[in-house]
Amino acid sequence: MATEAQVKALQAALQEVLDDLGNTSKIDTSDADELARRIAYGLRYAKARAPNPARDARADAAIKAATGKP
Amino acid sequence: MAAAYSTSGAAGDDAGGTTRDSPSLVIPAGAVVYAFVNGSDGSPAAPTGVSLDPTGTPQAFTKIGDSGTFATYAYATLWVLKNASAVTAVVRATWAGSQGERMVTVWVGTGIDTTTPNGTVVTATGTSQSVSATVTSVSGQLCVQFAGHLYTGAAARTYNTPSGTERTDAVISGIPYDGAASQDKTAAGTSTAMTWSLSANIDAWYSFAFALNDAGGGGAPSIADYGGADRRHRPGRGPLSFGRWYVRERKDQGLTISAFFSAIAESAGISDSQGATPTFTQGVTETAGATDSQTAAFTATQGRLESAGISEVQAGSLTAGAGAVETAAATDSSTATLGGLTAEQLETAGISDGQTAALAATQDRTESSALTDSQAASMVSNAQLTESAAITEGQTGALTAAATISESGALTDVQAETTAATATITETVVTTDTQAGAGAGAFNAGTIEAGGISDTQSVTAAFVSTIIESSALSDVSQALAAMVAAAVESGGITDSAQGAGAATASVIELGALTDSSSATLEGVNDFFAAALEVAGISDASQVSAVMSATVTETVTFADQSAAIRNFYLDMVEVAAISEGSSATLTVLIIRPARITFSLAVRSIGFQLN
Repeated sequence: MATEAQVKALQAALQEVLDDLGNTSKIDTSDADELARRIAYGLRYAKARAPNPARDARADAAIKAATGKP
Repeated sequence: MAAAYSTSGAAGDDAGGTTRDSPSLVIPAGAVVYAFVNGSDGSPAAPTGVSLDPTGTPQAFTKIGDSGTFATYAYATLWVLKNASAVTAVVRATWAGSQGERMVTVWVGTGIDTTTPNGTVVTATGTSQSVSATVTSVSGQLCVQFAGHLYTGAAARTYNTPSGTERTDAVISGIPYDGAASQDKTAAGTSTAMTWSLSANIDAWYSFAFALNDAGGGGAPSIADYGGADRRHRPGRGPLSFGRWYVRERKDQGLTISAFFSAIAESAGISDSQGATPTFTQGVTETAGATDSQTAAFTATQGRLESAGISEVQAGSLTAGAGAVETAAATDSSTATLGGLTAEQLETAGISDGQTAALAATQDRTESSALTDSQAASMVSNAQLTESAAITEGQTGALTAAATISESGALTDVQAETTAATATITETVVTTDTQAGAGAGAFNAGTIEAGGISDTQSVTAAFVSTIIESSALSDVSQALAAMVAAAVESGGITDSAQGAGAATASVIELGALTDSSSATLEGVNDFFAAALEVAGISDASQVSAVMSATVTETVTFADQSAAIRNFYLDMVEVAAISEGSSATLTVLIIRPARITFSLAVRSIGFQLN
């Protein structure tokens, strides 16, 4: 079970990905697994369209901290 | 006319791009076509356009539903094409920029009002596994629902337990992030709920649903007092029948009267991209000119005369039950199928590259065919077949007949010929390197065979009656001859060769064996009567002969030879045995006066029983 801080970190990571993609969608979930999936999905495009290794590392760290999954 | 489902299709992928096509669909003239376009991307967007037959004569759709972005990355739109022209083509969605996952689902209906084809489009969305939308309807109206979803978990999801008739249910190829389904349902009242249950969790789904307006009804039907018509035949809901006359009143166009009769005469000129399927039961004369990309299917049961000129990438299917005269010229990539001809058939086929001709008849057939590269000819007949076939590289010729066959075949590299027949056969076969000639064991009588067999070849011949065989076997060749009656065999066997001869009756055999050869002549179960054998055996050769009946034998043994002999009756033996040789003679029934030894030997193991 992710802590509130971990969920906020995930939401921040997802928002960063969305911003880089120019995606203006509102983040409508606080489910850690779903946030992690959406970050992973978004990174597929963000890595190609807006490369940013630091962002990628932050996103991976947030996912690992919240879900335990690499 | 009541709205009715016609066809549907769905396709999608995750390869990214600015277009996505549906599967090719057959669209009837006047049809109403709905396209549900969904997909996902890091920056999701709606298509800028959808068209039918984009590479031919495009027919543009109009957008009637737009989800906006949902589930962060997903998008869905609904499009309609009213009063489509007949065509077999794809529906293509086009985006301004590349979209990662794209999917197009198409639902086609007929009998739909082409001015106002549907009522209000109801939208719904959710994140649970229950997909639901409720349409305002009138009893009898056909309602349609589309739904699409995104699951960023990248696992396929299916739409289960549809409330109506599901037409499509698919996920994109590649990583199955997206999926969509369509269904239709006839309304039973003023509110029609359309539902699915998704197979597992998703990020979110989005649905469009609506009721269709029947053609000629100008919208939902209304009940009017009309000449005693019942509810079923009321105006705007279907035809009112007076024998062969049908009367329909349209609220918007006044009275329309249509008359239908029997005795139809028809002349059809079919142009590009059309499909025509005329079906008649009798007395039909028809002339059809079919051009590019068309398909013409003609079916008649009798009394038919047909002439078809079929050109590239066409398919002509001609079927007749009897008394048919048919001429078909099939060119590149064409396929001509002439089937179902039961009697009195005359056929001429000119067949070229890449074609396949299948000719089937049950009797009284004459056929001539010249086959070229990469072709296959399959010719089957039950009786009285005369055939001449020249078969070249890479081809296979299979000739099967139940009765009299005359055949002449020349086989070349890596070919195989299989011939099977149940009666009199005359065959001449010349087989060369790495070939196999199989007689398939199906010669019942009167067979004469001559074979010249060389390196690494194998010949198997089996006969059940009188056989004369002459074979010259060389290195590592193998000849197997099995016969159940009078056999005469002559064999010259060299290094490592092996000749095995088995017969159940009178056998005469001559064999010359050389170094390292081995000849096994087993009469235990095979030679039941008079056998005569002459064997010349040299260094390190070995002869083993076992016979159960009268034997006359002359054997010469050289250095290091060994001979083992078992005779059970009336034996006469002459043995020349030299130094180092040993012979063990076991005689079960002995007539000493008839046993002689022509050479002195160092030791003989001799046993009397």
